[in-house]
Amino acid sequence: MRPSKLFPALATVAMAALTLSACGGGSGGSGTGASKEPASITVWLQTDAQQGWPEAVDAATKTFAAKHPNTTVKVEYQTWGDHLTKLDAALAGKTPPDVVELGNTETTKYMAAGALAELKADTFQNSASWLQGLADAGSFDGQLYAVPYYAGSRAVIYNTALYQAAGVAAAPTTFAELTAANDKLQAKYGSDKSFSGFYVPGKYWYQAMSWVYDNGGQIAKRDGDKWVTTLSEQPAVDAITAWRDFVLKYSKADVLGDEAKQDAVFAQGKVAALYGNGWERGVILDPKTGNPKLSLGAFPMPSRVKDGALMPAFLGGSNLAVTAKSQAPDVAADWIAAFTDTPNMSAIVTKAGVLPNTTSLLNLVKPEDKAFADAAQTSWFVPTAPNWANVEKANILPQALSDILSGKAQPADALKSADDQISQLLNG
Amino acid sequence: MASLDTGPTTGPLGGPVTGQSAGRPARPPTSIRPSRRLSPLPYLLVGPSVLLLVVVLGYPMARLVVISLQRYRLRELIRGSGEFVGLDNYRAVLGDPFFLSVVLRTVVFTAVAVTLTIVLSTAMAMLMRRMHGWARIVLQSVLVLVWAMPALVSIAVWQWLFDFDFGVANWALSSLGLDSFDRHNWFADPKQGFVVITGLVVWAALPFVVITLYAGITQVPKELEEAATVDGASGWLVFRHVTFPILRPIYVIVASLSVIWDFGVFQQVYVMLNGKPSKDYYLIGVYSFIESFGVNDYGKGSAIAVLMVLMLLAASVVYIRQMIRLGDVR
Repeated sequence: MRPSKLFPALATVAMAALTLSACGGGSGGSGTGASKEPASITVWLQTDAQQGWPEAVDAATKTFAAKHPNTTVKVEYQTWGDHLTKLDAALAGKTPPDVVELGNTETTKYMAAGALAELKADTFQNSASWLQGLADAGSFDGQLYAVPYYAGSRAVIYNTALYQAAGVAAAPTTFAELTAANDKLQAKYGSDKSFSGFYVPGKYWYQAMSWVYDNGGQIAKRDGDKWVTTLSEQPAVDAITAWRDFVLKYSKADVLGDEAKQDAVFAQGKVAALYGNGWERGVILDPKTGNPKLSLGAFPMPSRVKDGALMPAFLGGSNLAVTAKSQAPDVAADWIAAFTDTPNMSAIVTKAGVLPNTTSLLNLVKPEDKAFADAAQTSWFVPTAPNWANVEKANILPQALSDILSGKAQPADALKSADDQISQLLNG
Repeated sequence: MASLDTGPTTGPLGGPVTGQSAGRPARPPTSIRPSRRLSPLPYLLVGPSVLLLVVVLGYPMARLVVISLQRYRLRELIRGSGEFVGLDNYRAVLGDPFFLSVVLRTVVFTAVAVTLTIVLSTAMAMLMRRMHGWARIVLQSVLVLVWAMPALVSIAVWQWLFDFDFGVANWALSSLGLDSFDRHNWFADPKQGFVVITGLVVWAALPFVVITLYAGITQVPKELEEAATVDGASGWLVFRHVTFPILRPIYVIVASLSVIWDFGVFQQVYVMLNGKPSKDYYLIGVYSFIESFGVNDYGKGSAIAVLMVLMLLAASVVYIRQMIRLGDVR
């Protein structure tokens, strides 16, 4: 170890600066006019496509080649962990990728910053029946910028052996049946203090907000060019109060934890049900991280306030966009059109068990994934405000929810405070 | 830097090492000033490293300062140029009481972590001197292993140790009958959370400091300490009046380095809390990163980084002065 170590800390800062300055350059000349046939286009997809449906990617490129024989397609795969950092750096340069995949909560700030090119919905198949949650995520000020790609929805995943042993014969279809099932489970296993009839970590805000939207509430609504936060209004407060009582009664999860570990905990066999994505069943059953011996079932979360209806689920998913700096935006859009056409969408759905971008193909979903497809029919989405990412970064909702569960604050007070903070960030 | 025009410009660079050789007779002063003739050789030798520093540190630092004076968000990043707003970013940062609380938290954290590092390392280094050869080799190997462990790996291990559901700490404490630690969240109370984080930082810092101090201690002349003991001094007095003064230069350097490292702690907080630290856990490095890359306000993030560099420079003055003094004296 050399003694001249004045620099490590400086180097850290310098590294940050280097990342920033690497983004310098570029004089911002973007107006390329009418797009001619480029020699190649670059497509950034997440590794999900590489592992789950590479055939669809190849098929799309083939369809595309028929229309643009002189353009080669370079597909580069990215990982969720760092793809935005890479994208930011690439967007600052002169030749960013032409097509880029974005998570549906990530789109808004790029649309608002002018990073994406405008698209026309009617050039894409099934655009009339796109899943609402994805279509909302891809539009800004009524203009389409990012095409719905695929979705994942959350439903209740349960341990069938525990349900049967407690005398719950069929999957609950109403909220009353769900609480009755939880009560039976609690009666049978409640003496074990680490047992959860329904596992909800305190910071799992996608779960809690579903109760709010179910009760007619929302996080914020748009009023002109301002955002009005609505979590302190009565529907939201009532919903969160009911959520708190439900969670405290049936869940022994960490009130300060998030959902990252819930599958590992479930696999230990002391959790009867949790609220999760379809793919989480694979994590639970994984021989290395979970327990392949468990037998799992799933049902969509029933509405608390309306029998026969479902509680709206947060619709996670991906959109595909063309960057504003692309040299050939129209050509790039053609590749997206080929990739999201009906044959490819069908292949993606049947192959990987994700949800298609359109309700017209939901019938292709396999029986065991049906609960998740049903849950996707009623969905909610975060406010499409340019600053929404800052709200998530500031951890306002998770903090408020764990304060409510730990008894630090009453729902009305915690939500009022969250409301004020969110309002400040959204309108800041 | 007055000594730079003389022959052995390597003096300051050899600074810490001279601490270890404190017991040896000083080199005759005549060898230090061989001639007054200016030779281009030293400049040629130092040239490449200066050039490297300018490219690797100087340019990014300059960009950092420029961006800190601009409105620089995602839109400006894509356009490739910011809009000068004077000192607005600095005004926003310094006018925010939250920033001051972050600085205060960082200073307290650094003070506690550095003090613990130095005290524990001294204790371990003194212990190593009394150990059997094999025990010392085992301890040294363990220290080197700790040192060799990548930061991210050690964070993951500590995360697991203090996990809510599966953590060893909760299991051990509740097995000992402390039921309140059954499924206990260590990060619920920031004070407790910082105990864990400080533990990790100090644990990871120990190897370098222990090995450096031990190397120094082995160079302390035995006769001096024995003489003091014969005169009736207790172990503490021997350390206080004989060992410590000799090791003083090493202590200054080790403490300065620890201050610089601990002041810039980032991963141990950011990764330990799964990239979602609540505001009670913001240290200045974490704050700067989240403002820049989380919230895409590169201007404000750069302003925080510049302020951080200035604070570190102020803290490094002690270190630099000590290096120069070591170079001058010998």
